[in-house]
Amino acid sequence: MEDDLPTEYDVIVVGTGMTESIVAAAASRIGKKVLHLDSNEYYGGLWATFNFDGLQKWMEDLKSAASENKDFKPDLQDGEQFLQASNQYSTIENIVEDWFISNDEDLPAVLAKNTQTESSEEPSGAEKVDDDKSDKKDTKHWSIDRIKKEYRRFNIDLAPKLLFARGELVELLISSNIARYAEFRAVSRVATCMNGKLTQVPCSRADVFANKTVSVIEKRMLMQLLTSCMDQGADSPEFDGYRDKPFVEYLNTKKLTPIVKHYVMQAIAMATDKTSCRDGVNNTKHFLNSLGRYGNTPFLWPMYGSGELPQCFCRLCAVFGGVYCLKRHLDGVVTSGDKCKAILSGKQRLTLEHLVVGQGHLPPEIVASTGENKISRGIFITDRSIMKGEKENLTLLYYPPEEAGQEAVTIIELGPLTNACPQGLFIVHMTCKRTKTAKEDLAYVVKKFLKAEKLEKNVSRTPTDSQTQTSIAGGESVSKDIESKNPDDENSNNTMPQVLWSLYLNLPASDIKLSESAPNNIHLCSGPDLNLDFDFAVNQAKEIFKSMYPDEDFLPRAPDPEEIILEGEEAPGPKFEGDNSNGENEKQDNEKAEKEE
Amino acid sequence: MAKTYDYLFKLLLIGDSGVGKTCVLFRFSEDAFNTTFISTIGIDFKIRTIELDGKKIKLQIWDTAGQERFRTITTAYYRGAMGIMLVYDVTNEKSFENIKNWIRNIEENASADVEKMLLGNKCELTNKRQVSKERGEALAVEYGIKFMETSAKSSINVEEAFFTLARDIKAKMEKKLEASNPPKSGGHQLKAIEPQRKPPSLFSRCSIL
Repeated sequence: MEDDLPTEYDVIVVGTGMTESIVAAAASRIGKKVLHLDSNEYYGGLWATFNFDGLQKWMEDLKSAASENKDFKPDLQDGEQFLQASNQYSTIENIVEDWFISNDEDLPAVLAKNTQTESSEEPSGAEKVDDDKSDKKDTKHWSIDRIKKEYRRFNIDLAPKLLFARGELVELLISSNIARYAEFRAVSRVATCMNGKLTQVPCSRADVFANKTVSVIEKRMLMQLLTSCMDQGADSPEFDGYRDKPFVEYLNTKKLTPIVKHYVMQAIAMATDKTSCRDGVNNTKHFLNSLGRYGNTPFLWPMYGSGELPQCFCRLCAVFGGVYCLKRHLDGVVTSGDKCKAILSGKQRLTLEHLVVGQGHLPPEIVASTGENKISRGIFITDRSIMKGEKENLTLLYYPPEEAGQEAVTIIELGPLTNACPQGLFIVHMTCKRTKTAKEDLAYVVKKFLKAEKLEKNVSRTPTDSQTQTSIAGGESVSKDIESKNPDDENSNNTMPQVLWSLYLNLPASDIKLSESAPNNIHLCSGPDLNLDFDFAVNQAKEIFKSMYPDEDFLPRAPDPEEIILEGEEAPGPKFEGDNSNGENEKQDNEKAEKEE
Repeated sequence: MAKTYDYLFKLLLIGDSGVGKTCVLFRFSEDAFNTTFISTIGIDFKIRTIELDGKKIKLQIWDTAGQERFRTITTAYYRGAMGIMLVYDVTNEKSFENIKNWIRNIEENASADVEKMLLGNKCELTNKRQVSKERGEALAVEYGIKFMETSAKSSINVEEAFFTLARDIKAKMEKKLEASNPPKSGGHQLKAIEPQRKPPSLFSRCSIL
């Protein structure tokens, strides 16, 4: 559709990332006229979630990204200046995509049966064409073609993030009533790697009871420590003299046993040796505070991926009249003095009071620093979980650096129940701070947990149903914990998840800053940050909103449909009534909507 | 709290701007007609509980919130939808031609087994008609879906259309249940009301130790 857009707005938001979308919703919610644009044809920018095909297309488009050096000569009025938008702050680097499985035609027919394999030992090689074609492939067997064919059943995140059950975003989703647009699953286990073994961190009472690796005395020790973190946080006198020292130094004074120290450091506080005591205590408090609300761990994962969440805010913005237009490029901004007056987009001049802009569209002239905290990402499709379980798990694993020069890596493993992938597969997301390339930064962790070698086409793997990673050809049981074995051990290698496909990429820094001289009605929204959760984006959105509309409520609760009562024919539109009094018996929904307290 | 229904179906309305999706929705949910919705503002979804074969079925019918205007419907809109009403305007050729684009959009984003139905709305405007009933029927046959011409304004077939779609979803659902193959449980929505805040579970241990 070629419709021209209306030309006057209170707020124009460019980019549909998390922060942008929250601000758009908040402005629209209080009645501001909002235009929300994105140059992409999908929502979310660097926060997006793609199906397999969409991800391939995204990578293609990056290669062919048009240079934006067309000399733009806008019509300007006196005193106006035009600053051309640039995508240089959303550059994706070091993309490496690899397949570890074959095409259908390269598979020997014997794989049609779910048995041990034929004897001939052919090296795998995509260029080698096997004459031995067969249409009857093992339903459990994954080929490149099959993954491509089932592309819709994948939801792959560029920037996977969890929600703390009592974090900023959960509270905001509930208080604004935006929660009704999304569904979540609780992370079912927090894992940690202790003495080379993966173990589950006891989070719930049942877990603690079941846990045999921690003695009663250790449990008591742990409780005392956690209580001091919980009650007063880092301000507790307990931490006097340690706040700015490493957390580990404080822990060392507590004479904790190695296991307890490990749980606190690596699973609860997710700290490295450099993490300050203040941060360590605050992380611990955050973790504990979110326990016991939903499910077994303090974390939630958005169904269909993190990229759904910006869209939920966009929906609310639209419900309150925000205008949406994707595939719409920002050419640049028109400034006059210290104000931004308008943007130019698609031959239109669109005027505004406030411009909220994602970092992928900033004119370089107003950027002061390009940021340092870049992100390394690895995405893997695997055939089983990194840690065997009785049911399908959603796993969080924090893996601290093994040696100097490495960065701590956050691993999120998703199964089919999250709609991340089809039955029988898992998606593993790795994220860390960038030091070199994504592949180099993550190599030590990939080696530790995944088998990322070409799968020989004549080798049949264990059935890969998520719940039944037990049997393997030959009758030999290798279902024991992989951790109980030397990682170089042949058997253990066989139970490590086989990588079917991998993708490495580097995301840009999220801590870029606007220059002092930037017009004060331009508000910068950062891309995905390194934190595990969305709090950074939520807080940034709140700050932006507050600077725009200091006296207005930030995302007050949106009414439920039952509360919207139509007036007479002359009414311009629906009106809201604060209280639901029309006697509908849809209590189920009211219950959901009623506010806490 | 006891459930006041047996099934909950999430339905979507899809189609070009101005074909009358919101009016269809209001005719069905409120039995009202209002021509003043220029675009869809403030309408998220509407609810009506109907009864089919003795079962109470709560229909939660979502509107596009105007995001169809520049083809910017979020993927999140399609999540969990069990039925989709594809609506065009019989007085607007373009809106009819665009149905195939919307179907492509649905195939890309909605669940593969979503029930679809085609509606030619504004059928009361006989002297402005651009799309014949036969063409509508032919298109529906092409996609193997049901078809009706409706008028939200004159209250023609709107009721029937939603009952038909609901009946088809119910039949499909019961067939699945019979095959003891219930749809896999999805995610959970966050509820504002939660169980009384308990102390975090780790601390419950304190009293035991």
